[in-house]
Amino acid sequence: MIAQRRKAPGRRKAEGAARLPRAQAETLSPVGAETNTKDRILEASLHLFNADGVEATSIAAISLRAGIAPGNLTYHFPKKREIIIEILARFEAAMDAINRDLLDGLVRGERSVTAAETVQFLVATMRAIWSNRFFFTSIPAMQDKVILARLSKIETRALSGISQLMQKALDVQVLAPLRYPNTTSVLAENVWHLLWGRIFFQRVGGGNSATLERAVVHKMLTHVGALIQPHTTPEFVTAFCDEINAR
Amino acid sequence: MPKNVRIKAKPAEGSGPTSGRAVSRRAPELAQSAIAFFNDYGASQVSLTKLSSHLKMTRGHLQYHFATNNDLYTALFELLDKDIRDVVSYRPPADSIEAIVQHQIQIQDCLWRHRYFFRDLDFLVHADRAIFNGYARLHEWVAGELVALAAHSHTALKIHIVYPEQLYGVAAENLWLMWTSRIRWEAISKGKKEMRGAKLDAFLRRLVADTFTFLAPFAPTAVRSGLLQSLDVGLSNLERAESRTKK
Repeated sequence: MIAQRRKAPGRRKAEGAARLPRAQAETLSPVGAETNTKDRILEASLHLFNADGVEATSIAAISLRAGIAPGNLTYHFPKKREIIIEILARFEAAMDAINRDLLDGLVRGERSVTAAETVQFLVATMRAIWSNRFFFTSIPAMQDKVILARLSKIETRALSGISQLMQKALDVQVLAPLRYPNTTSVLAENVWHLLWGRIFFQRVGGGNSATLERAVVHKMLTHVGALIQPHTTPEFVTAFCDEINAR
Repeated sequence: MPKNVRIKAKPAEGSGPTSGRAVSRRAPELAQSAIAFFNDYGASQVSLTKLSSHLKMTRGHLQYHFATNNDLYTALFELLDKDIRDVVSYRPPADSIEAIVQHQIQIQDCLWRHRYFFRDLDFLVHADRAIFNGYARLHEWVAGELVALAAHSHTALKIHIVYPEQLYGVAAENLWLMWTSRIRWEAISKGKKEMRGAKLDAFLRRLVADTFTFLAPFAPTAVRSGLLQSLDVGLSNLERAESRTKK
């Protein structure tokens, strides 16, 4: 299998622009031959952790999927725990990227908050959580302080993103002034708990497709909509509902 | 028939998720004492051997009551199911805010006592699929019951719900997801420390206050301040939440 993979780049060169069909390329190398070894290990681990849980995934299984020797794997990551920490660092970076790409321009700009952008942000956050779902199911059982600190950091990232969006909505009067004891941060915390509570329920219930199913996204958006509805303008609620139905 | 073979009592018809499995008379009592052990060690770390030494009995004796780990998980789930159904179906006097708050605290207390379940749900479901089916039924039942509870408490809370009626169920489900998700989060971050007395009470009140923000937009100002007074949480709690978000 390894020999086959090594052949692949040469064959591609010979064929010029005509690349191998995607499915075929995937059978040659499970995670893509071009990426470097570290990336391949991380991708393979993430896939297996999500599919089977951390406990049930062995170093041997990861190296098999990544298409490298177990010795090579332990050279890069002596322990499974270190793989997890690295994956979590990337998860954190992904949350940062969502905040940067989808929120920064919106929060700093002069224009109003639209329902489309809100939905886009929520869906991006959900998908990021879903592609790291092992984290929300397997990690608690591990009781590892460093890893739990990461969980806390990721929660902070998500909360700050949702809070920023709410603060902006408040500034442009899409969100009505919040009445004590509601504050943007408490409301943001509730939205966050709703997102990962729902994803946890979905995952534990046996849902484990690679991408988040449309019906689940739909349901989750309805729930967030119900949570923020009493605080927002009727126009925003209507636009939000249209946005959900359009998806 | 050998003398020392005992015949287990027949289970009651349709009792819990594993009806058809024999349950000894002392099993619920033993499961009750096992809860703290599960909270401390996590479901994945508890074995019948460890539990038997904790309960000061022989492994064989314990195995008479729970033949396998899964029997133990099921007995524990049945306790949780019963406790939650008991506490949620209780109707506090409809005209007393204090009684309503006390009831909410009792609900949180019940969830917190069984916190291992929400933390280790993924593990438990992997061990026995029937637990998830039972949990999903409970989830649905609670959502329905909360709608009824809200209607019952209407006299005291004077809550004016702006949702269309078909969203009542969604809102109730939101509340349940927020409760369980918060309990899970707290159990992950400080599950091992056993809290007692005033500390536990303050902690439970904070949990109620956090989820209460969900109801606040529907209640008139006087009711809101009354509720907060009986919860005895002032600005300090919200400031804490703010600082958590800013970190």
